Amino acid sequence: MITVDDFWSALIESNVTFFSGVPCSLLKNILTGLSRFDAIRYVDATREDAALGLASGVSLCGIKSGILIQNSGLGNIINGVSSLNLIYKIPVLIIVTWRGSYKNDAPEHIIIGKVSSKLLRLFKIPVYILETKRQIKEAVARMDALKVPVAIMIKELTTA
Amino acid sequence: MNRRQALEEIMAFLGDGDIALFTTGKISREAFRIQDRKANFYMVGSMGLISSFSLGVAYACPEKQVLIFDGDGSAFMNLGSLAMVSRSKLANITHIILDNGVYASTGNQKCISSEIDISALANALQYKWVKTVADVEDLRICLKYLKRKRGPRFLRVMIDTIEGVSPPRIGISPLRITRRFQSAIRQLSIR
Repeated sequence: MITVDDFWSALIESNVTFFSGVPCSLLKNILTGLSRFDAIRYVDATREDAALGLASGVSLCGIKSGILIQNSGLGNIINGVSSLNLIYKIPVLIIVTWRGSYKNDAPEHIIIGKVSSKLLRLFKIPVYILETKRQIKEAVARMDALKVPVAIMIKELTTA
Repeated sequence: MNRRQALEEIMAFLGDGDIALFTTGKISREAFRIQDRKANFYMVGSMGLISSFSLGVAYACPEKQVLIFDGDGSAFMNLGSLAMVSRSKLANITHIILDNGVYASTGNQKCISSEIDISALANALQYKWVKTVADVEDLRICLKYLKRKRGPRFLRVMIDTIEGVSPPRIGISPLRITRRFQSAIRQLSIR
């Protein structure tokens, strides 16, 4: 798994500098580490779809943006992805944790955990399962080329 | 005052450099019919997201005035986004609610806005400036001094439901709306 510094520096090197989101315990170190990166602007949102809306407005104006959410919030963003981002071609990097992907997770994560990557792929969203820094740059390059949202899924707590 | 009259008054007041974003349904359609411009963004889907989306535009373009044309139904759909708009403290944002108390785009079904005063909520959410107008004269007076007030501003415009023929669908594709808007933003930035 990559470190928090690798995570944010890969995004900065790819010019993705504006983020919104709703916290997840798996994002704890990533969000705490934000304070070390002045180049990143983060605005917390009240819901995942509001994060998507905010990031989409920023992206529309030519600043590359992303959201940081838990997969329990995937259902909340689907209408925005399908009836805003995909038809207007507004790219947003969807960084989403993957609860329910490991054994013995809490019951509320089991069902969505089984279908999380499939759900994104159903909407033709390219999905990367985060393991290396290079994948982040590949995901952003793909987003730039396709002008649609691209997802990066995080299965474990990033090293502080 | 009906939706069309309210939109005509407010849109006449838009400056060349102002950005206007319109919510889903008849508000977008009516605006397109009244005065189409490149710096207009018509959100045809994703009901409830116009406020967060416009907030993103306002963050990205702090030197431009950003006007949100929201409906009562779509504003109530995502009240958390209203809190986000207010909390941003962005001086360049104006949140306009065209409030008819119904879901006009789907056949005038009653909306919770007919029972709950959304401008009282806006006050509680600490928008810098909150105003409700119910007739054309008040709206005109309000528009004259609106730009002198610091945002985030909240303007609730009480409108009647229009009976009869509804405005036609927007005659340009979503992708075209994006490209035109982006070219308008670039041109506005050069000035």
